[in-house]
Amino acid sequence: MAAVRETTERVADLAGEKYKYGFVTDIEMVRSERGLNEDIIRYISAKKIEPEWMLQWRLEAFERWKEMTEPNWARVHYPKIDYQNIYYYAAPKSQGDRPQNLEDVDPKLLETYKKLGIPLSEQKLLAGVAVDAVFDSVSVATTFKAKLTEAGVIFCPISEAIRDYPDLVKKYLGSVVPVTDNFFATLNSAVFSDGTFVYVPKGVRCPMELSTYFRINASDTGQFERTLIIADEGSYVSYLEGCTAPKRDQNQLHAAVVELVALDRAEIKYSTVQNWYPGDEEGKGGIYNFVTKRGDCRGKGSKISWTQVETGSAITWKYPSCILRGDDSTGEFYSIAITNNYQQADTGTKMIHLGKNTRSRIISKGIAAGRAQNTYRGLVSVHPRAENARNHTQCDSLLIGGNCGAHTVPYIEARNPTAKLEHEATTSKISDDQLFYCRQRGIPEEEAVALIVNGFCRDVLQQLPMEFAVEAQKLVGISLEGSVG
Amino acid sequence: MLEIDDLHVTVDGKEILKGITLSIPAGQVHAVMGPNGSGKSTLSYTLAGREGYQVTRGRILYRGEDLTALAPEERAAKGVFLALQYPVEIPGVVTLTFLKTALNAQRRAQGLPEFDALRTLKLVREKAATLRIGEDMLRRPLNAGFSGGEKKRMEILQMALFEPKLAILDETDSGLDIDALKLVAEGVNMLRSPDRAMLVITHYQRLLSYIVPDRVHVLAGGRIVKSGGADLALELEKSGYEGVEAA
Amino acid sequence: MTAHPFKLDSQPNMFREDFSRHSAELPGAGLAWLDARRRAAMDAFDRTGVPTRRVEAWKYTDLANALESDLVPASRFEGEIAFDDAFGARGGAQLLLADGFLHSATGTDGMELVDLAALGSQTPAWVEEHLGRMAAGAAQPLGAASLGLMRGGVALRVHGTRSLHLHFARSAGAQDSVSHGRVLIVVEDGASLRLTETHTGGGASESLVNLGIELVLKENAKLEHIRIQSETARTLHVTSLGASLARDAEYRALYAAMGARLSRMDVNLNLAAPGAHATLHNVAVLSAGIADVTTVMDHAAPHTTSRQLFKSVVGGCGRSVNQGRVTVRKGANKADSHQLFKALLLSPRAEVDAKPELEIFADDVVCGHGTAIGALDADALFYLRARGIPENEAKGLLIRAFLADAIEDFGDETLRDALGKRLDDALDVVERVAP
Repeated sequence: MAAVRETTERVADLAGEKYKYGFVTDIEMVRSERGLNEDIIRYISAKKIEPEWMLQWRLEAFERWKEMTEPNWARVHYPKIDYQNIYYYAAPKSQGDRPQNLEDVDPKLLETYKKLGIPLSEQKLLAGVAVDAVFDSVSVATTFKAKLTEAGVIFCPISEAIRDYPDLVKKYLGSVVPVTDNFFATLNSAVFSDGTFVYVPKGVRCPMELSTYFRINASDTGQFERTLIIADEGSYVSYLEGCTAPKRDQNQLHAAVVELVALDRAEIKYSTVQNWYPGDEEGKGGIYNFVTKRGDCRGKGSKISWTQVETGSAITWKYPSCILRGDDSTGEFYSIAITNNYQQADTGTKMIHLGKNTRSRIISKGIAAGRAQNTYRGLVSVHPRAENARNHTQCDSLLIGGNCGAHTVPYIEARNPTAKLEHEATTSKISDDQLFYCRQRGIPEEEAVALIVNGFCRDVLQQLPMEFAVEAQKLVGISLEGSVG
Repeated sequence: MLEIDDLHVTVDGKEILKGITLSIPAGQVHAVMGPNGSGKSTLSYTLAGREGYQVTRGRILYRGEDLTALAPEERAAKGVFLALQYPVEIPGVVTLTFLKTALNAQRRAQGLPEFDALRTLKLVREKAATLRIGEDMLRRPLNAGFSGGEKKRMEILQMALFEPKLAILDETDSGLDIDALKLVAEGVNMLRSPDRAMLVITHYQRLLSYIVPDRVHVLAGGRIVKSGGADLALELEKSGYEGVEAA
Repeated sequence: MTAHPFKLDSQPNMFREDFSRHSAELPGAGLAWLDARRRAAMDAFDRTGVPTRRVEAWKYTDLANALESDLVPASRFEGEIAFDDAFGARGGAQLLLADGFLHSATGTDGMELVDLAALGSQTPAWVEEHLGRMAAGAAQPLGAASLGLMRGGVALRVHGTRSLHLHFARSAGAQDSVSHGRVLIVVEDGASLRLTETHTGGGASESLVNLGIELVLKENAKLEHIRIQSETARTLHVTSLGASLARDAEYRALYAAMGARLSRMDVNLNLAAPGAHATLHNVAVLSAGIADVTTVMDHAAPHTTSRQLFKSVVGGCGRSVNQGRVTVRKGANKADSHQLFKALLLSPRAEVDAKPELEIFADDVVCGHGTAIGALDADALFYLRARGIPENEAKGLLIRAFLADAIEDFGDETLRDALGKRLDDALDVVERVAP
């Protein structure tokens, strides 16, 4: 694992440069008014040049949202959010008419993504990775579209899909995460701005990794992206998202909805490297990451695999789930959640076994340091008709220091006697023996911690696409800086 | 190479070493023998700088420099190596990765250029061959699921790789059958050199038939109660520790 | 997980009403300390009322929904009632409680015994010190009600080595009723108690047994607690148990639930000082109704250890609920805790719900849990049948083997035999109703 070496090298390189994505791009913006009402929703819809049905969909969601209350069952604490004090739409002015090719994209935006390590020029891109770049409320560029079109794969901003592929969007949007699923999902349904749409046609193996890079730039602005991925019969797609935001003292809200649909024998692999600004050492600032992600294994023999590396955000509230509806379908959830300083994470998954011979696997690695609180919350549910369902869950927590907390809250519900469910969880600290052993062999303490934690996370890191595994391992080390000694 | 002078060490407030004085010149192998609870492991952990081993009096001079204030990794970079009685398992960390990380951390501390993956692999393979450590072991997480013998051979491999100036072997013979013991001893003997000092800590004489020491010291009750040549070990084998302790 | 501050609006709060109307007539009314504790308990109870599934800790056991009728508080039964002495070989004291009231007591020499239905101004100081301190907060709402509305029960103080059998029986009353009873047991420094607690009976009318138990284990005290609960299909049973363990105290418990329409064992154990240890085993065998065991293991001090093993065998349309939260508080280093839930599902209508939970605020700990839910091992079953053992018999063997390790280290031979027989009876029913 060359990557581990690089992790430890990078930890040394980056000492003192804890959050290198914290810069602000100075660019002229177009914004909605502050606050939320019907007019704002009409404004967003108009900006997106949406058809009437989409506007109605949004307005209905808004009506429902007004009657809902914010959930409070998660183990996260934050001051009350004033939903009328947020900008729900912000976009670079230069994106007014979205440029059709990369040459026309505002150089300031290109420069921003270059600084984030995501060069948008196709020549410089990682070979085999197509990128959709979302900046605040709009997609600013999508690469490799021509090559993907050739294969029949649709990969575009969702705002574009609503205009160009209304039948697909109408059929699937809200079919996995219903409009009124939960407070944040309903809010998203009313105000979502941009996000990615992917459709992989029957029998097509998507020729490259697809990825979206989300960037929050504007202050006091919420980001409400919406992603919809449909893998038609027998197709395969691997998708990755990355996220960063500037350092700010104010908290910012990110409430996304991601829906995945896998039809017969289709497979979707969805990976996240979440590195939103986590706030400073005192717990000031940072993103509230309240996200609803759900995949529907709708077809026979389909498979959805979630992999997440959560190192950023002041608060993470997120449960990427799988509805195993199709017979013989498979759901997987691989997670690393690292919280340091005052970060709080309440994250996990739901595996809902509905079909026969459905399988699910959960591996969760939680690491808490500083004064952070880290909770795994997960549900495995086997319904009466789900003959021969299988689940295996492994949930491990690691504590670094005596002021943090690590919590494990699994719910296991079996209503079919042929089910076989196994769950195991452990909580411990990095052993003094391991630490001493590494140091005796000359490895400094902080590097030793990064090494041991990377080892602890190995089963999950291995699930990431190669290009991103390296990045994720670096993040593991960086996120834990200052947690020892 | 190593000068220990009137060393007192407490662990959890309890004095374990009560004034040890010992000198090992470069090129020599010294053995410290003693019954259980005599302070053998405390001595090795103290030399390596483990937290919780409080030096209350005396000092440890290594190549003329007092070690007591240095962190374990600083001592390691200066050439102090401790082969542990119970090598630690580190799940998920591939052995090769670990070796490279440690090697380069030491080289960095020594102001030397780091080795790239290829160079490291070549070096490790070379050293591994003589200890009959195969490629599969190098690809597995460090010590995880290794047999007792494999773990000890891995310790010796690391010693060969890091080329320490002072090697401390803490009960390297424990838990080994005779074939494994011979293999390990061979590895150690190959590393004997005029500019390297070794301290072999053991309960039994057995290991010393294969690694013949220049001097043997008997540790009992936190003190060195007797010192002599290689034949002292044989004598102990016959008479046991009781006679020595009484003396 | 904190309970939602949810109040029952749809259902009249019969417990609150009972308290409003009768608090002046309850035993010990007028004792300032007791009045205050009863009031505080009712306030705590009011935070949830009779819990519905919307209260997180009662997510799988909707008590409010299970209550079908208005229940009147049970009154003291004066007639003859038999003692269940199948467990009698343990000797020692035998106390019979009928409908939550102390009915008879024998062999209590060397123990201090107080009838809680007759609390008055001469109540011993140790009762005042301890009664109502545990199993009376908002986390155990039914426990709170059992204190607030306590009509009877016993308080016992134990020195030296003793054994005690508490048998809870029901008169065959025709009225739908609820009994709010309390048990307080103080095991003094270095004392050792073997406690057997049995619950049987219940008639054709609906009844709710609402029992609050407090166990105070002082330094070096030892308590072995074996509880066997096997009631009729019209019975709802909630026992709220609070225990606190002082330095080096040890609590070993085996709870067996074998019948009731709904039973809930709601346990809150506080490992309050270094060296405290708790072993908690639960066995549930059911073919109908809900058997719920919910525990909170609170490691409040360093060097505390706990082991929990829950096993259930569920057939018919039974539902086994297993919830266990282990909390390690800040600074409670070297806490060592493990819990294991295992369940056998034997019927398509049976259900198992499990929620093992870890809540850890100290880093130097070793904590873990495991859960395994499934059917009988097909390989083992085949193996036995290949050796000539008929299928049903083979299943019976495997099920009993499954339960064995939860039981084997408890009690003496007589007790294990008696328990084994009860389990056999319950298993026979499970096997009969299984498809």
